[in-house]
Amino acid sequence: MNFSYNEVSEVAGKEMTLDGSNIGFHRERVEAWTRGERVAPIFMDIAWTRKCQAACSFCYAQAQASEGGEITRQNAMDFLEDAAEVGVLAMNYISDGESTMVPWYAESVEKAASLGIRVGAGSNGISLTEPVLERVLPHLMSLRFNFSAGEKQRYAQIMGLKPALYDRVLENIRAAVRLSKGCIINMNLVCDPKDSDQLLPFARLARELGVHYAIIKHCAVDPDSVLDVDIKGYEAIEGIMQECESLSTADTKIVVKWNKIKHAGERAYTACYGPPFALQMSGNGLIAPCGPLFNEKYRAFHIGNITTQRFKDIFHSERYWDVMAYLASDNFNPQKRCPSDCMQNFTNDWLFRYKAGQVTFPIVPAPSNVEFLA
Amino acid sequence: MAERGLEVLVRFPAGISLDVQGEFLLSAERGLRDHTGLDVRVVKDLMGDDSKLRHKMSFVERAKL
Repeated sequence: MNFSYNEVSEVAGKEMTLDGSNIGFHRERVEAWTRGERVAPIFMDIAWTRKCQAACSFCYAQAQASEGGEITRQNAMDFLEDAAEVGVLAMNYISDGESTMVPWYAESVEKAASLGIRVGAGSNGISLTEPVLERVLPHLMSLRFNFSAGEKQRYAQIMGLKPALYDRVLENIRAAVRLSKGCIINMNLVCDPKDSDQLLPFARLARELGVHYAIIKHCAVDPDSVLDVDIKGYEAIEGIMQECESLSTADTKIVVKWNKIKHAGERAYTACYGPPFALQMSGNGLIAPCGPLFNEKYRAFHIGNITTQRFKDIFHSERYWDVMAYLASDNFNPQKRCPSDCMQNFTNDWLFRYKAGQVTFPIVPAPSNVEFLA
Repeated sequence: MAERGLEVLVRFPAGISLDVQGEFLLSAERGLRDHTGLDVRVVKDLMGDDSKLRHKMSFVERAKL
């Protein structure tokens, strides 16, 4: 299947890639990589903890536990300095934990911004009260509220939270919209087909709250079947998702990740080239090529841990480049080894086609979230 | 979708560092694939902490994660 990599959506007057990859806009780094040079990640998806107050049944973090440490404030600040030093351009504070649960969360956003790293964040929104928002919003490129329902009781069921938190989070979202300034505020519903009754209530709620956009995305499926999701169930609910999109207004865009949903996890590429450009860190400090390889079972691909090593040393280590080379070799075919989707999927696809001479660098203007590869 | 391939499970006794485990596993996988030509994956005989599946836990248990 062919993806539309650079299809941009206009959100709050900004052009953004919401369902594709921006890798093609990074010509210099891609060409350096092609020459065999050791390039720094453009983007990292990270978490400061694996803790989370919620317990969504589809949460991929359930399949991502590994032996690791507890990231201290000092570990985090060192990590951000190292990341900036090696050349990381952007980070999403999302990964496999609720990063707002660490007491130095706001400081970590401020610190990254002060180092020139663009930051996006995802959160269940419970801890994002107005005082926290006032500190972080001026430094965030985007803030995503993970909110996988539209109605209070179903929210509590699906996300494993007390119903009262529904109201608290809505209050926080309203505050974020009001205080947003340049930050794009969005809501994110991970759609398990069996919970499709919540799609329209979610879209209506997003519109009422006035977030800049709301995403409806697929569930991830892990290779070890820890998660129980019917990935083929999306076809039956396409009509509902289209109806959700039709609820878009000038202020709130409802976006269905059709690229991700339609390809149903099929990968057209046979080598994994994406992790050197889009790297991930678990909330226990583990640096690994991707989230699906976080689990302790996949220790073969675990590169290092920022609770015991400096990130710049991990990045410059032979181990880092050995793992990356292995993933890009004939020994690692993502079609056979990987679950149906991953954060690097579109980036992988573009890079594979680029090496095969099937795509080249786009000539259209770069979107506002160009440093974000997911 | 992922295929299982030929999984070789490795169980490490206490005292072998995680870094050494990782390097060994990758090296063993590379060697076995080179020698056999088969779709071998060398993995650790341990699913990471699956006792902590969050949706099966109480609020109190989750707070201790």
